[in-house]
Amino acid sequence: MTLPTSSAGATAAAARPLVTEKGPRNLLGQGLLLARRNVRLSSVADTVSTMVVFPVIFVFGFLAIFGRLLAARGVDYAQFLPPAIVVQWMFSVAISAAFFFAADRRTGMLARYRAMAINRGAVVVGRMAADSLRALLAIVVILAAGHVAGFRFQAGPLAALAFVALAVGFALTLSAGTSAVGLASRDPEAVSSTLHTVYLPLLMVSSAFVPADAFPAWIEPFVRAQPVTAVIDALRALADGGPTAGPVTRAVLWMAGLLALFSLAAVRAFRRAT
Amino acid sequence: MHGGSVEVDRLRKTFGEKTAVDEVSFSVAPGTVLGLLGGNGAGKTTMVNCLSTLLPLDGGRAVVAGHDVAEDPAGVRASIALTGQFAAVDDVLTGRQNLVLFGRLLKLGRKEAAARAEELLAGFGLADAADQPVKSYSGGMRRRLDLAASLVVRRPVIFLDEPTTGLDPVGRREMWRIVSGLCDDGATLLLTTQYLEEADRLADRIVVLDQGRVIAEGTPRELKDQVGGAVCAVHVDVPEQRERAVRALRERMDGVTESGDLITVPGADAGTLAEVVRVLAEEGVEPDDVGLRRPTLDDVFFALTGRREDCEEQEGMRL
Repeated sequence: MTLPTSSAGATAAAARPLVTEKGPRNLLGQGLLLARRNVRLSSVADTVSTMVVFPVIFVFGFLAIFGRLLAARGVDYAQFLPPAIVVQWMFSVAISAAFFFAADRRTGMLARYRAMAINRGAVVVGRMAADSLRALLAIVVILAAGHVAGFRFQAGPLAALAFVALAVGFALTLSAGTSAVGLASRDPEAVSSTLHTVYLPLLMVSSAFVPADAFPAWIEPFVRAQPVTAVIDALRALADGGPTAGPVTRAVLWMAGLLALFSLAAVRAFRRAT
Repeated sequence: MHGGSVEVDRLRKTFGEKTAVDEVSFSVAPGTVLGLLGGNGAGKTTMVNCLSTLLPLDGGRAVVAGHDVAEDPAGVRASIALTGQFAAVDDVLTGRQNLVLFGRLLKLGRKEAAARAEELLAGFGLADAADQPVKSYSGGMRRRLDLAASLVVRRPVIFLDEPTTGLDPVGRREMWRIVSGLCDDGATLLLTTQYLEEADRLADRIVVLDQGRVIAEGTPRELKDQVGGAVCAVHVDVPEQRERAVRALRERMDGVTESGDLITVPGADAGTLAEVVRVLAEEGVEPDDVGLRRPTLDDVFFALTGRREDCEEQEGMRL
């Protein structure tokens, strides 16, 4: 048998001279190849159920449960709810990022990429690009469902774009943090359940589903101060019109701080992940 | 392509309190095959991870194909092919899609990557399954694809971490044939294994690792001479019978050892075997199995350290 490694059988390409892995062209090119791979890996069935069907159920489900109740308090729930579901799904995107990283560690794919002559940042770019795509898909689905229910952007297209950008930014911020956890593990299921126990209380005890003043007095200060509330309030300000500078600045500052912290942890975990 | 050399000088790697690799030195000449032989936890994989820039060194120095792993990791990565212990390929992609992706990542053009994938699939006996998702592959097919994936671009130094662990005998032989082909092509190979037979088949030189230290080094011939060749192995399940058998055999022969339900007698000629069977019959011991056995890693460790390692049997499967 002629082995494909023998000089006779090999294409000229396989023998090309060594090339460097540095530089932005490599980062982008290899990052996009990996992004495509990440997208292909999330199966179609899973994407349809978790990114399309579930958010739609949440929008209409919560609307049916709480819509009339909150109307009595003067809250237009169809306008109030969609930003909260968007934030909920940004968490979901971030948790799936951690799941995929832990899976890539378990299968040895991460070690393989890290030992290959590809740009050091390509794996991260690939993850971020794929996460952004998932986030965008979820946002589009939720806003479409919200539109059917009566949700409207009332501050013009620029505010609507800022809404989407802020939401995707939040997903990426969270992904940096969850990735640090995912990269430290080889057990995707355990990572996923651990992160759910952090995210669910944070979301519940925020202004996501009911206004902050609906909480008992002892916990209300926490509800108002925590970052999930800050991001949801900023998204609502961008959707509803009215003063946006205050809430958006607060959300962006929170995200910048968290991103700095999470990135440090993620880079550390990435360097240690074999 | 010419092989590159690998020089390892007093390499040390610790994880917290545990020293995984302890002042290990060896060198691999260009175009030769070095087998790193050792049981689980001997430090083989840590060694490969250090040499392939996945782990920073805690001491010593290593130079791969002229690139220092600490000072020029990018140069090392551009000179090596690494096939890890677990077949690292994407299950939901097809064999071809996997290989094309690796080719594209290593900057082959679309057409070049496709042609190279085709070539590798054919050469590794995967042409028929090329467009099937990898999750439908057998263990042997996955391993071959994994090896092919690391060879998409040819490199002067190839690391193979336990290439046949978990494969059935047919898969193992097929892998041996492919690895031999790589050596013929002139690449430098560093392969880790738990199997003496595998190191014997493939390696020019063997370094035996135990608890992170080099305990022996030499050609397969030299090592086997230390072990003393094949042995006569007797399995006796019933403990009282086994004790009786050991006592009787020790009275008449030298070097009889006992490990679990296995009794080993050195010397693997028909005469020894006949003598063992006669002694057992005299003592009224009914063995569950008597036979000649080629030396295993277990025997190498026993010969070198005087203690029995908890290693898998030669054809054993690891889950």
